[in-house]
Amino acid sequence: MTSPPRALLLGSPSRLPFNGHLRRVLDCEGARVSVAARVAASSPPEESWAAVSTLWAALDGATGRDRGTLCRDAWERLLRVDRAKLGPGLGADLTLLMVAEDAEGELVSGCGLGLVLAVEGAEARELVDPRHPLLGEPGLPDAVPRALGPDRRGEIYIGMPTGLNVNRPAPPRLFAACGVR
Amino acid sequence: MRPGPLLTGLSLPRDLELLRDRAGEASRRGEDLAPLYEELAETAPVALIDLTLGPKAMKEAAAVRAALAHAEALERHSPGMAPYRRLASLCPEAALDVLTVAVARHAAASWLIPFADKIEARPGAMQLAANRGAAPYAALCWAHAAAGHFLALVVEAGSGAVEPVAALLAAGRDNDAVEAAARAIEARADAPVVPWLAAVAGPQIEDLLLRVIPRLRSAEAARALLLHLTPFPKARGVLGAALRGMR
Repeated sequence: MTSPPRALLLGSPSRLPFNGHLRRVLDCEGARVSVAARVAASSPPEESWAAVSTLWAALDGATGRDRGTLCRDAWERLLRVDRAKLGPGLGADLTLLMVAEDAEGELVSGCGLGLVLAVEGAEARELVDPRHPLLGEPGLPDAVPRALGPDRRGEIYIGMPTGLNVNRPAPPRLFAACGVR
Repeated sequence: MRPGPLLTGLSLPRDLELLRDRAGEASRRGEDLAPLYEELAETAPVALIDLTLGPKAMKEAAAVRAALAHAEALERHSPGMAPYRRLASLCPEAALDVLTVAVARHAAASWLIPFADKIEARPGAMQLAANRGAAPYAALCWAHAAAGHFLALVVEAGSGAVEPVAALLAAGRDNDAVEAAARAIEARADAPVVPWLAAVAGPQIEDLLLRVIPRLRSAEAARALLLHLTPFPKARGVLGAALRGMR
């Protein structure tokens, strides 16, 4: 297993670039799931944090014997969240990138993503073309979204929320733009 | 109405020079210039401007302080920072009074930021305090951070406000942000320090929180911070242990 978070989201070009951002890694048996999300980002930080805490709590106890079951369980827990606790947008502004992995491979899924970069070393490439179903409008979906099984393994995935216009720097500054300290 | 003693027998603006001499002597004798300025504001505003802001303006502290009572009239002649900069330059001893009036009249003005540099021991402190709870407060915190007014922001956080904490962190002043965070929580246990730190730096702020914890003195502050530490297991453990050692 790799140790850095596998899923990251770019911050926004504002005074509070990571308002409403969540990042969580959960290990379970032989699998791991990394989640990066942004919710209620337009709200005051106190309210955004409450929404983040709701997502955080929802992921508690996510379990699965492999990447597929862990990914599904994590999503199902998110889908059961009380949307009233996700800020004034009721979760309709949610952007989320999830990377589930085990010894056999990995799965990438998400919502609200305008772009996903796969980063390895100093190289960053677009994981999918702009029409791929991994990309789309923000919002907590009604059902578990389909997941992509990338060919390569071990890359770090960086999501850019739909509608976010930022000049993305090259690695390693790209990670700082995701709030990696 | 009969003119005051300093204006007796004078015709303004012709006798401005004479008035300046009389007023200077009166000021040096310690006489209050407020009645003169009051009268000039009503009857000869040009003379008031000449005495307070002109090339040969009165430099005594009492004269500058008396001029501040007519800030509105001075601003009509010379808007924005100009009258205040002039008054402060005339008498450094009265500069803090000048800044006080300027902040009272233009609390959110951006020109107060460089103006405070030359006057306050902790530049920015006065304007930050004056805007606490007001709409431009956060923007002013960022602006003062950009101007290097870090100490004022640290002290301001002692009011329980979190915007100074965030502004310091955004300016890359991690140590100051940590100190400010501790002060904010100590002043107001429910100060939302964690949400604001995370909003600036991202979710990975456990290192900062671990540096805040040793600076906490009260159990109330520690307990309040603990409520926000769910995503930070190491910080939660350290603070939990620290809490057991607190009353």
